[in-house]
Amino acid sequence: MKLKIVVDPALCIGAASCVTVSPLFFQLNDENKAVVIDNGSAVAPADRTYERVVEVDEEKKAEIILAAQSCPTTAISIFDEDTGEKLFPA
Amino acid sequence: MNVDYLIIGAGVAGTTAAETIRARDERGSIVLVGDEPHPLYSRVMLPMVVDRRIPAEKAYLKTDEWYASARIEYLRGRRVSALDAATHRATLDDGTEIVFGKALIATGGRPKRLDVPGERLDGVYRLQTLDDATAVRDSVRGPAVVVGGGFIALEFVNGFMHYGLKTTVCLRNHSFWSRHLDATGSALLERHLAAKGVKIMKDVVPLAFIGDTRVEGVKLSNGESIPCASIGIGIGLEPNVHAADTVARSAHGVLADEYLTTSAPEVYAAGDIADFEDVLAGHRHVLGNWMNAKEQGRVAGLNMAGERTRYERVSSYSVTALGLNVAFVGDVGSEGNETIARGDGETSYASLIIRDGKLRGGVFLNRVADRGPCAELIKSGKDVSAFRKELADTNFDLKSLLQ
Repeated sequence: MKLKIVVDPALCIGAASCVTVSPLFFQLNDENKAVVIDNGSAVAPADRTYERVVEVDEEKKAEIILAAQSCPTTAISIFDEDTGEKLFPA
Repeated sequence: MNVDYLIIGAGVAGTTAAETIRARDERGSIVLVGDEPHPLYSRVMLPMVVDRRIPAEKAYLKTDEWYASARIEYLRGRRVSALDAATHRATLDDGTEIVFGKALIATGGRPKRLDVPGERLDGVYRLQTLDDATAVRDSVRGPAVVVGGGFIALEFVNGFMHYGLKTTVCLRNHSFWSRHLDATGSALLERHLAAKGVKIMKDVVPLAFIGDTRVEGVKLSNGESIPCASIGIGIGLEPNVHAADTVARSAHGVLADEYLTTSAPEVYAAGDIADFEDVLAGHRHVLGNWMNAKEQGRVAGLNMAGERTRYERVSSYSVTALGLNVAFVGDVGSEGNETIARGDGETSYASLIIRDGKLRGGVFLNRVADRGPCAELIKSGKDVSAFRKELADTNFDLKSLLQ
């Protein structure tokens, strides 16, 4: 399935809990903001990809939602790209 | 009252535990006791409330309806005044008796007091609760003084400087985070703040806050008195151990093993109150950060619902102080450990903490790119003792040690 992951850089404070929970989909950039990467894809320090659609299985989906839930500033939103349903925040 | 699960403390650890239990156990009764009037909110977002980046409502992580829909009975404005682990009984401050199956102590801490005259004057602020944050936002004025040299103290600096207030920081010791940051790291932070106009005073403590209803000044241990209209105090937390009479505890909190079980088999501890066995650090300690509290709440909830999961997370926390990022990753207690300085401290710096040949933690100043690899290295448990020179070299990519 496809998920759309969106980070709000205005809310992100670089706590990096998402990176800790799901390092294959989140990394910090040189502004200390979380950017969305594609299943471990390389990330440049200057990357500004705050939104990305990724292909995942159930296990990775659960991990990504856990990462979004772990964010202390609710900077991460997750959508089911196929149905448009907002999976987090509910 | 009889409940299957009693959760003491409705902060992020307690609420996450309740939510996790509900996802595993549809039918068990859950009572959550918290001493604040609010649904769960993010303490991490309080600085955003102070400087009006967000309205206070935006800091809420749960709605009133959520508790009902998850069938979690949330007793607000209540504390547990006694807990007897042997008989599975707890008493609330209003006299209510609760007989529980399993209990979680997640009472966190309260801001340490200075115990000086005038500490309750208007304009003397803490920054732990949503009400603290709105009070600063609505009534702050200059000149301002910050007491302390840690995360909360730096959030006060950010908030006061946001409002253009003349700001003076009083450090009890000779540096910021005197137990975690070395002289080079503190000097970098001090230069940065000074360049932005913050005045820093060292080796001073307040002896008294002066004023009638609102604070008008502070008398310091070096004989000076500074006029001020606002004081932000961030000198750390002391553990709320009042609900833990019959479980083993230390000076720092409630003792817990790596499964977050206390000395009583059906009583657990999580978050800022837990002096837990950290398998990655190799010893017991309290970690007072959001990520740790959230994840411990989850693990304690899993175990209370019948799983057997060890807590194994490299938690981190960071503050951006007037543009300079400071991050703590893993176990940052440097006492008695080897530390490796990474960088010259001119514009960035890291202090890496090594014990038994393994990386255990790191303090990072403007070295965002090092944080992820550092966390992974800690988790891997790799012996890095042959790489001291590389760790100290900022041109060396820490990621290459992960291969």
